[in-house]
Amino acid sequence: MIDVKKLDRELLKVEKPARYVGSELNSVVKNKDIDIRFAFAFPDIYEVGMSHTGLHILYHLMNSMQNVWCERVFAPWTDMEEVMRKNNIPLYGLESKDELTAFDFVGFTLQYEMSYTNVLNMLELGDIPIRAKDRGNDMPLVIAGGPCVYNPEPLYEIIDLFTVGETEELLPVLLNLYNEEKKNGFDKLRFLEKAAALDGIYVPQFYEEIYNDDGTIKERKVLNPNAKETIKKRIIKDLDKSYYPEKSILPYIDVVHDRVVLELFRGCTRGCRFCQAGMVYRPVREKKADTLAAQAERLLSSTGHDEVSLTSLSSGDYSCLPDLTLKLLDKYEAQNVSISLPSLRLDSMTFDIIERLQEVRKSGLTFAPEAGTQRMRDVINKNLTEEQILGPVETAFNLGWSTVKLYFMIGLPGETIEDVLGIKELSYKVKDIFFHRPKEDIKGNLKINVSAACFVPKPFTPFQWAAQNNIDEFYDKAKALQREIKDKKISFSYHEPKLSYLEAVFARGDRRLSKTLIKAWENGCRFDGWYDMFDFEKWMDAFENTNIDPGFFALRQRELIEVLPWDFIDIGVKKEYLISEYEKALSLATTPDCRIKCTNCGVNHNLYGGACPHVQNNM
Amino acid sequence: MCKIICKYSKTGYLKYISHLDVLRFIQRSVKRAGINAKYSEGFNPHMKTSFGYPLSLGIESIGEYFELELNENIEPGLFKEKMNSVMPKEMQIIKAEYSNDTDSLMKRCAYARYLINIESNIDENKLNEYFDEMLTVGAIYIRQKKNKKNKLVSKELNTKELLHYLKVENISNKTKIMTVFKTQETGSMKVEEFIKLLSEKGFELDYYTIIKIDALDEEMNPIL
Repeated sequence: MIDVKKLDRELLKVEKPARYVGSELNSVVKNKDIDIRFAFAFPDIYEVGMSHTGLHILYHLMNSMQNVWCERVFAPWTDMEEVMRKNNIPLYGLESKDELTAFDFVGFTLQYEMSYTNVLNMLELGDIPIRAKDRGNDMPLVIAGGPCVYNPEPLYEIIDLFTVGETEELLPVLLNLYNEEKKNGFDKLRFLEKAAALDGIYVPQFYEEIYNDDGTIKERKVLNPNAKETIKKRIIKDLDKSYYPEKSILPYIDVVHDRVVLELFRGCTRGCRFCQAGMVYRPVREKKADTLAAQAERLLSSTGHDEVSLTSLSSGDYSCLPDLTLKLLDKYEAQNVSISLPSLRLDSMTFDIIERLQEVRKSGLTFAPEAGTQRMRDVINKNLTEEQILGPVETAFNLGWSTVKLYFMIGLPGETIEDVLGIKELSYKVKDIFFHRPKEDIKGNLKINVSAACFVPKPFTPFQWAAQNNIDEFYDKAKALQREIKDKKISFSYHEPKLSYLEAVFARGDRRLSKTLIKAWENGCRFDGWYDMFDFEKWMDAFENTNIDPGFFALRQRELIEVLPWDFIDIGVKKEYLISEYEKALSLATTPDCRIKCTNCGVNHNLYGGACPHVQNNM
Repeated sequence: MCKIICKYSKTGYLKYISHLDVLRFIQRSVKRAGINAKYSEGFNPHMKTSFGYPLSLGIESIGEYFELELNENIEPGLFKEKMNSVMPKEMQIIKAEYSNDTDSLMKRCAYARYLINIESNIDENKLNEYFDEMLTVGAIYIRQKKNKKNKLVSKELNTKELLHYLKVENISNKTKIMTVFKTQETGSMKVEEFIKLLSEKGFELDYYTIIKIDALDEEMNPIL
C-alpha cells in the first residue's frame, strides 16, 4: 500500500483531489487476500474514464467473480503527476490504494489513439517497465482491449496481450486460465502461450513482421506454435442475456456523462464508409425493451441519477424505441427523471418522441450530414438527401429549436473544393429555412454551429486504403470555409489538422511505431488528445529520431493488394466486401441499409452462424 | 410545509468532495432512499434543499447541516434510517428533526467549532500566548477576493472580530487546538487563513488534521 499519509498531505495541492481517492458509492472493496487483482486502467483523467460505459460493465462483471477484485486507475493530471513524482508516490488502484505492482493484471482500455502516451506514462508512474520484454513473472501482465485494438500493432512493444472484440465473455475465461496457471507456479511465457490459443487473444511477441524494400509489409510469420494465424474478434451472440451491471459507481465530482446509460443495441446497419464502429460492431444485436426497462430500474435505484441516456450507434434505428421511451417516460416523469437520446438520426420519425422527451428549448439539436454535397454523401454512403437533411431541420425550427449544430468532415476521398464549399452552401440553406417562415413562427435567436473534423481513414473501413489529406490541404480547406462563412448567425470551427494527422498515423500504423511512441513519451508527450497539451514539435522530433516517416502511414494511397498491418485480425466482415464498398465509393454508387437488403458483408457466415438477427426480423 | 433539518457527517476521503458535489450527492441520496421530496416548479425542476455554511475542501466534519422540504410527513427516525441505508459510512445522518425556523440555514450557522490535531512538535505555551494576542489585540491580515467585475480586491481583516474561542491543549501527548470561528455574513474566518497566520508567525504545522465538530447558532448552541 502506498503511504496514504503522504498522499493526504499532498492532495490539497492538486486540482480536484476527489479524482484520486475512490470511495464512491457502489465502488467495490474486497479483502486483499484474493486470487486475482485486476487494475482496470483508463488512459485519461477520471472524469473522462468514469463516463465510459464499458468501464462500468467490465468493472462489475469482474467483481461479480468471487476470486477477482477489479479496481480502477486513471491517468493523473499533470499537477498530480508532478506531486507523485516529487514525493515518490507510485500510481495506485483507487479502491485499495495499493501500487500497480501489487496487481496481477493491469488492463488498459484503448478508446482513442491519442491516449497511447498516457498508457506508457501510467506504467512508469506505477513502477512497471514499459516494454513487455522487460517484465518478468513478478510484474503484472499488461493487457489491452477496446476499439483501437482492431489495429494493436503500434503498441506491440508495450502490451503483453490484447483482447480483440467484445470481451464480456472472454475476460472471465482469461482470468480463470490465469488462476489455474498461478496455482501451478506462474510462468509468463506458458500463460501467454495458453492464452494465445483462445479466440480473440493476440500476443504480439509471437509474431514477426517482414518488410519489403519499399517499407510495406511482406509477410507475417507466426513464431510460436501456440499462436494463431488469424485472430477472430469475440462477439456476444445474445446481447439481451449478456452481463449488464445492476449498479454503477456514482462519482462525487461532475464527470462528462453523469447519468444512467442503457445500451439499446450493438452494431449499425447504415454502412457509412468512413465509420469504423459501423463495420467492427456488426451484426446489429438488440436488447429487448423489457430487459432495458428492468436495467433502467435497477440502475436508477442504485444511483439516484435523474437522467437515463439511451445509447447506441444510431438510436433512432432501435426497433422498440417508441415503446421503450414511452414506457420509461410514463414511469419516471413523476420522479423528475429525464430521458435523453444522443446519436439520433433525425431522418426518421423521431420527432414525436423528442417532443415527448421535452427536449424542446432545453438544448441544441445536432445534425450530422458529414458532407456538404450530395456527391460526397454518396461517396461516404451516408444515404441522406438534401431534403432528408433540411426537412427535419425545418421541423425542428417549427417545434421551437433555434440552436442547431451541423457536423461535417473535410478531406474525404475524392473531395473537391466545390464539395468543401458545399458545407457553406448547406449551412446557409439551413439559415434560409429559419427565416423563410411566417414571421409569427420565427422565435428565438438563430445560432448555427458548423464544425468540420479532418477525416481520418480507419482500419476495417472501405477507406482503409485511402490517403489522408496532408496538413496544408486541411488548413487550406478549413480556412477557405472560414473565409467564406461570414454570417453572424453561423459560426464555424474545425478540428486541429495536426492532431488528426497524428491520429491517422497511429490508426493505420504498424509495429515500427512502438519506438516512436516511446520516444514521444520520453520527449514529454502526455494527454495528446487535449488540445492545450498537444505538442506537435515533440512528436515530429520523435519520428525523426526513430527514422519513421509519418506520411508513409497517413498520406500514402495504399494498393488493394498490400498487406495491411491489421490484416491478421478477422472482424467477420470480408475484405472483398470492403474492397467492393471502396470501389463503389469511387464510382459514387451507394449501398442500402442492410435491414432493407443483406449486403453480403460476410459477418453472418463468419461469426454469427446464419442470418443476422435484424435481417430476420425484417423478412 | 414540512421541512426536515439534518445533521450529517463527512469523513475520510469524502473530505475531498467539494460543497457543490455534496449538494448533488445528497439530492441523489434522497432519490435512492425513495423520500418524497418537494421540487421547485418550472421547466427544470430541482429538489428543494438548502445547506449550512460551506465546509472547506480537506476538512472532515461531524457537524454539517442540510434541510429538505418534503411532500409528506415522515417520522424523523425513519427518515434517518432510510437515508443512512443508502449513504456511505463516511457520510451519515446523525440527527434529523422537523423545523419551523424561518431563518435560512446559512443564516442560522453563525459559528463553527473546529478541532485541529497537530502531529509536529510545537511550543504550546508560545502558541497560547499568540492565541491570546489574536483574541484580545488581534492579528491583522489581508484577504484577496475577486469582486463582481472579476478584479482582485484586498480586504484587511482582524482576527479579533472573527475568532470567538481559541485554545491549545495537550491531550495524551498530542497538541490539539480548539477553536470557534465566526461564520456570518458580516464576517467569517476561514480555516486555511488561520493555518496560514500560524505558519507566518513561525508555527510550522507539518502534518495536521482538522475536524469540524459542529455549527453553532447565535446563542452558541448546536443547530441540532
